Formats: sequence, C-alpha cells, structure tokens
Amino acid sequence: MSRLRVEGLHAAYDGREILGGIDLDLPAGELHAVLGPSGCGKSTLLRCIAGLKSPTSGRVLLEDEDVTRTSPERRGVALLHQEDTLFPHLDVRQNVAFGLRRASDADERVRHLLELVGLPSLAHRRVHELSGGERQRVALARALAIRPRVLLLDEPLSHLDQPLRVLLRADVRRILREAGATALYVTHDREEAFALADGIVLLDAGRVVDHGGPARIHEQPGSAHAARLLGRRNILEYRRQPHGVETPAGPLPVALPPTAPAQGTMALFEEELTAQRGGEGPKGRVEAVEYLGGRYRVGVRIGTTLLWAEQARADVSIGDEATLDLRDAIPRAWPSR
Amino acid sequence: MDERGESRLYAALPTLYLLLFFAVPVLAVIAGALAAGGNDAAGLAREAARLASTDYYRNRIRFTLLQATASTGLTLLLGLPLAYVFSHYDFPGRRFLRAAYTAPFVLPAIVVALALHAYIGPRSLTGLDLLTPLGPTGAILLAHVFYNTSLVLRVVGNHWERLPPGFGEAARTLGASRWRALARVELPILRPAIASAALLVFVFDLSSFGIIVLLGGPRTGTIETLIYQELRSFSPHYGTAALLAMFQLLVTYLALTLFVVLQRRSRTHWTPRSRTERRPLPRPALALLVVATLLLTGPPIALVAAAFRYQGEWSARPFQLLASSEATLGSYTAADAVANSLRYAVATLVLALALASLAALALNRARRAAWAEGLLLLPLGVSSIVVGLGLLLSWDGRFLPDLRTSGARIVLAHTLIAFPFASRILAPTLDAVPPALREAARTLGARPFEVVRRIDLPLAYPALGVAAVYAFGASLGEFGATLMLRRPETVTMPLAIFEGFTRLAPDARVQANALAAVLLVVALASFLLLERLRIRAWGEFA
Repeated sequence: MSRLRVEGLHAAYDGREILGGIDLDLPAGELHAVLGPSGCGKSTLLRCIAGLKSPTSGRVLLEDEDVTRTSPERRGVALLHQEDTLFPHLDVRQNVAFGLRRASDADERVRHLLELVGLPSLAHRRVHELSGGERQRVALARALAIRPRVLLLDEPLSHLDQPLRVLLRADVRRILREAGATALYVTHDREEAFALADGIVLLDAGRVVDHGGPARIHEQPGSAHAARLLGRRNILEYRRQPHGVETPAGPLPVALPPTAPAQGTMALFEEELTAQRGGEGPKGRVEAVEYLGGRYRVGVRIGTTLLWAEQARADVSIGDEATLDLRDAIPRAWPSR
Repeated sequence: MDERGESRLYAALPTLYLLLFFAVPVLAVIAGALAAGGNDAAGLAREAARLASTDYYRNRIRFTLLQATASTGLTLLLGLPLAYVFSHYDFPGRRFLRAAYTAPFVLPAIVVALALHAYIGPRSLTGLDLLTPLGPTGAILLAHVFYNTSLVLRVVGNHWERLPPGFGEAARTLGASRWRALARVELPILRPAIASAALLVFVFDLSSFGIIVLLGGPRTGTIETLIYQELRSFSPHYGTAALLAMFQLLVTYLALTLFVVLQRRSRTHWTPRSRTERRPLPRPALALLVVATLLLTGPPIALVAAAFRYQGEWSARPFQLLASSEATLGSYTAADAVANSLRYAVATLVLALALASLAALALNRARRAAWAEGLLLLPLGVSSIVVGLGLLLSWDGRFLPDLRTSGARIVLAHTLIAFPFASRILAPTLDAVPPALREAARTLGARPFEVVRRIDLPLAYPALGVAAVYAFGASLGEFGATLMLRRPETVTMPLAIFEGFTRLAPDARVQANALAAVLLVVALASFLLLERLRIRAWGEFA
C-alpha cells in the first residue's frame, strides 16, 4: 500500500497553471526527492499535499484515504519550510512539543526527538540563540514529533552554507531512517537528491518527467527530457547507420544498444567521452576547458554541435584540434516524440 | 476554512460595530437633517448652494482647508529636519529627546491648549505673551505643529533609521554631494512615508476640534466648530450641520484612502536594521534641537508649573481645591470627572482592543482593498461632533435601544474613535509574522483559531500593549463626542477642564489648570509605558 498517492493533480495561481496533472506514489518508509528547476511547481506540489493550497482538480490520498478537501491540521502531514519557521516566542522544547498538546508522553517524546536530532542539551534555549543548522534540526524534530503520515521537506537546507549543508544532509537521512518516516524532499540540488533519496521524482513545468530509483534515474533516464533535466549536455537527434549513427554533429561511431529505435534522440554521457590529441574518432576544435576540481570538462565543436567530455586530465587547450574518443560511450536512446 | 473565510469571520464583529455605531448614527444625522428641514434632497441641494454662496460659510470652509494645509506644511518643516537629525547624528541625550519630542502626540487636545496658554499665553508664568501677537490663527497653527511633529518624527524617522546607509553611500561614491545624495536618493526613497505622514497630519488638523475651540476664539472657526455651533445654537440647523459633515467626511475619506495606498508603497523592502554609524552633531542641527526643545517640551512643563500657582503665589492650593468635595467646577466635583474618565477609559480599552484585534486579523488574512482600509480608518478622521450627535439621534429608543441616560454611549463613541487606529497599530505586527509560521502550525495540527491563540497573539503581545495604551489614552483625552453626549453625571476630565477654563468663577480656571496637569501626568505615564513596549513592537505608529 502506498502511503501517499497523488492523482491527476492540477493547481493554478491567479489562473496560471502551476501543476499540470501530477501522478505520484510514495511507498511507506521511503524518502523520495522531488528534483526540478526553480519554478517547476515543486513547492506548490508540497503545499497541495499539505493542504495549504487547494488543487483545481485531482486527488491526494493518504493511506488510501482521500484527503483532498481535508484541512491541513487534520492530515497528519508535517511540512518543513525552506525558511526558518521556529516559533520565536517559544523555546526549543515548546517548539518541538507544539503539535503534542494532549499527548501524555510529550516530555519523553520531546527528549527522545532532541536526542535523535543531536541536540539533547538545548531544550530550554530560546530559538534566536540557535545557529542555522541547529534551527533546522529543531524544526525537523518538531515535524517528526507529531509522527506525520508523510513528512514534506521544502528545500530545508538551502539557506545553509555548503559545508554545513553536506554535513546536515547525511544527518537528515539518518534521522528520517531512524524515525521510520515517509518523506518527500524537494530540492533543486541534484547531488543532494541523489545522496538522500530512495527515489527521485523529476519535475518540470508542473509535470512529472520521470520517477524511479536513483541508480535507474541516473543510468537510464526515462526520456531525453529527463536526461536534460539531470544536466546531460550531449543530447542529439540520431539515425541508425551500419557503423554507428548519423547526427547533426555528423556520423558518430557509437554502438547503439540493439533495443534502441532506428531513429530518435540519444544522450552521450560526458564521463564516457574523452577529448584528446590524435587518435580515432570525430575531430573538432576545443572551445571550452572548465576545471571542476579534480576533473576537467572539455567542449569540442564537432560540425555545428558542441559536445562535452569529462575527464581526469585536460590534455587539450582552447583552440586546439582535438579528437573525441567515443569508444566507451554507451548511448542512451529514446524514440523521438 | 481558507484564509478568506477566516478574514470574513474576523471582520464580522468590527463591521457590525461600525454599522451600528458609525454608519447608523451618520445616517441618522442625514435623516435628521432631511426631516428637520421638512424637505427632501432638493431642499438639501438648495441648502448646499446657499452655503456655497454665503461668505460666512465659504470663508470658514476655506479657512479649514487652509489652516490644515498650513499646519501640515509647518509640521513637515520642523518634523523632517528633526527626523533627519535623529537618524543621522549621535549626541548625548538622543534617546531621551526623541521620546520627549514624540510625547505630545498622546496629549489630549484640551491639555495642549491649556499648556500653550500657560507657556506663552497672556497670563503666562514668564509674562511672555506670544499668543496675542500671533492671533487665533497663529495659535492654532502652533498648537497643531506642537501636536503633530511627533507623528512625522515617528513615521518618517522610523523609516529613515532603517534605511540602510548603503543607498546614500553608493550615491556619494558615484560623485553626489551630501545634499544631492539626500535630495536624489534618500528623500525619494522615503517619499511614500513622508506623504503618508503628511496626509495623516492633514486629516488630524482638518478634524481638530478642542484646539480650535480653545485657541481660536469666537471669530475663528472651522467646519468642525461650525457643525458644533449649528447644532448647539438655539434653533439647531441640522441640514447645514449634516451638509458640512458630509463634506468633511468626503475630504477625510479621500485623504485616508490615499494614505493607505501610499503606506503600502512605503513598506520596507530592504532588510530593516539600525544605522550603524552616526556622526557628531553639527551646529545648525544643534540650533534646530534648541528650537524644537523650546517648542515641544516647554508647554507641558509650563502647564505643570502653572498648576502650582494660586493668586500669584506658588501653592498646592489648586490641587487641594480639586480634591475637596465642593462642586466648584459645576454640578460635579473633580473626583467625579476623574472617576468617570478612568471608568470610560478602561471600558474603551477592553472593547477597542477586542475589536482592533479582530479587525487586524481580518486585514491580515484578507487580500486587502485600499478602499476598505480607508473605510476602516474613516472614524479616525470623521468629526467627533457628528459621531456624538449621531449616537444621540439614533440610539434613542425609537428603532434602537435607548442609551440616552447611559454612560455606555460615551464608551461606544470612544471605542469607535480608538479601535480603527488601534487596529492600524496591530496590523503591521501581524503582517510581519511570516506566513510560513502559521502554515507550519497548521501542518502540525493547529486549527485556525489555535493559530491565532498560539502564534499570532503571543507574537503580537508588545503591539497589543501599545494598542491598549493608545486606546486608553484616546478615551482619556476625547473631547468632541464626549461634549456632544454630555450629561451632568457623565462629565470627564477634558470636559471639566474645558468648562473650568471657560467659566468665570474665580477658582475654576485654577482648578482647570490643576486637572489638566493631572491629565498630562497620566498621559505622559502611559506614554512612558508605550515607549517601553514600543522597543519590542513594530507598528507603523509605534
């Protein structure tokens, strides 16, 4: 049984459609990341699930119960906002206990949760005395306190510095696991999504582009659109030829999988390409060399198309004539729409 | 329930209140006007034409608009440079002076009038008489400047202090002189705040009553005093009064709506913070502070001093007279007036705070329309005389219960005057609460009312305190409506002061001064309380 199911969800702001029919399944106990560019509708999706925004059509089901018209406080869906939402007039303990009014074991639960998020000694701190990282830990404890059926996290780490974000990311994952939470985690950070999630929902322009396990999403994106969203740069129209493919960049000697359609769109993964001096393969001029820290990204103009390779050593400089080594490339191919 | 539904729910009671105790009374005045003339709309139109062509009325209407405009201009002339000095320079006693300059705003008009008399009137302590050479008009302008400079200093000063120095500094590094940076960068950014302060001052000057009555003398009058005279004359001219009231209402409403529109623009979009660096005080600024101190702090001090003068001697006798049970003020004693004032003020505080909280919540949860906000503020600028008269005419047992013998109608009138302003103090604080806090509370299981109880109200505590003190002070100092609704047993301190001041009985004026000093001290005490609360509250007038 899925914990959360979203069916044909449409939502609009001021008549402008933000969500254009979202279908989504979230199994109990899993953490899925909703990944997409800003403005793709990620936050609106969460707000619809939380009940803070009414969809124009479609349904939200929690444990098979239709909650589309249920008010937010009766859904048992805690939302962790992007911004700091600790209540400034309450201390840490009171914040965590906010949703626990009538629970007899509230004190015990608060203590347990503060331990879980690693802040057992801060129960009586005022919230303005906390650091940014501590605040989000407390907010997480507060959300978990109500034992939410689904926990929604809306870029909760985006306000933190990069090193802290990476540190806290691992913690969030551990905490959610230990709490046995089912969670939907919105982010625009690919690395964060892949590092955290059991599943990735790719969202673009209000539609789900792809949904699956991180490895599958990474290795075999469901469409050229998905590949592009994941940051793949070498996406080309192709037509199968006896010894490779014909593309706008000219003929490329790559081995299409036998199951690939005779013509369509394919992605060549940058890390499977190498730009080098001499050797076999298509030739072109180097237009860009970017240092990524430990690796280089090299752009080579082949015909009219700029193809990118990611490699350990630069080997070539801007303006050089270079050969693109495609021997390791496994094209991911999809039929053209 | 969505936010719009919530908003409607919260708006219900304040709206009902405005309907029953504002709209109905105002309509009653109009109906009374029509009935009293025994004529119809055409009769009223004829009356309007008659007023427009009568020099007497034309001159007074012109005087009303001119004095309000001139008062506003002069207030800005003093208030803006002061706001500049307080936000740009550092000097010993800065905080104290700022508080002292903003104190006059909480003083009742009647106290202001007596204080100016005590300071520079014909019988002033120092013998210096400036009021006579200034004439009635000069005295009125001076009193209005005294009164409203604090408003400009507060509204504009607050914005100026939070204006990051970066704007001016960027202009300076781009080659602008200090004056050019001020004129081309800082003032334009502050323009909405300045304009909204000016409009508010204009509205207050327009509907000013106590000051005109006490300082204007018999031959100076504004629309407000005209209405009073028309109604209090031997044969009341309801039609004339109603017409004048409608005209004033219209001008006020336009000004207030404009105020709301401008104020939205002045909402700070930059990160509010205090200026870090302030320069030492240059000489011209020092001179300005001397002038401001003389003008703004002199009168209250003079009033307290004058209260201790009896037959040319320093004496506590005025207060002994006050405390005695002899009814030398009239048919009542000073103790009666004090007791009434306190009773009404406490009742007003409770009622106004409840209504203001609901109105502020309604505003906060709604997508606001400027015209609706202007409507809510209307009682603020409407003639308190008309409010009083309307209550007299409508709650008389014909269609609505008879409140004529009840002190309740005074509380109702005071609340009507106090709560819209109080709601303007609360609304910005509620608006400053990030919506995400309420959403987080909702997803954690809090129902809409719980969100109000557990999030909104606790966060608005300081502002609630400010609003409470304000409502208390507004009731304590209210003059016009109380005067219209006056019965011997409902006399308040301002009425007792007014009647003492205008009576010829030898000790009456002495007692009026003493009572005014008492009222002054109470008002200043509540002001100090307000200042303490203000530090934590963020209202537009705070």
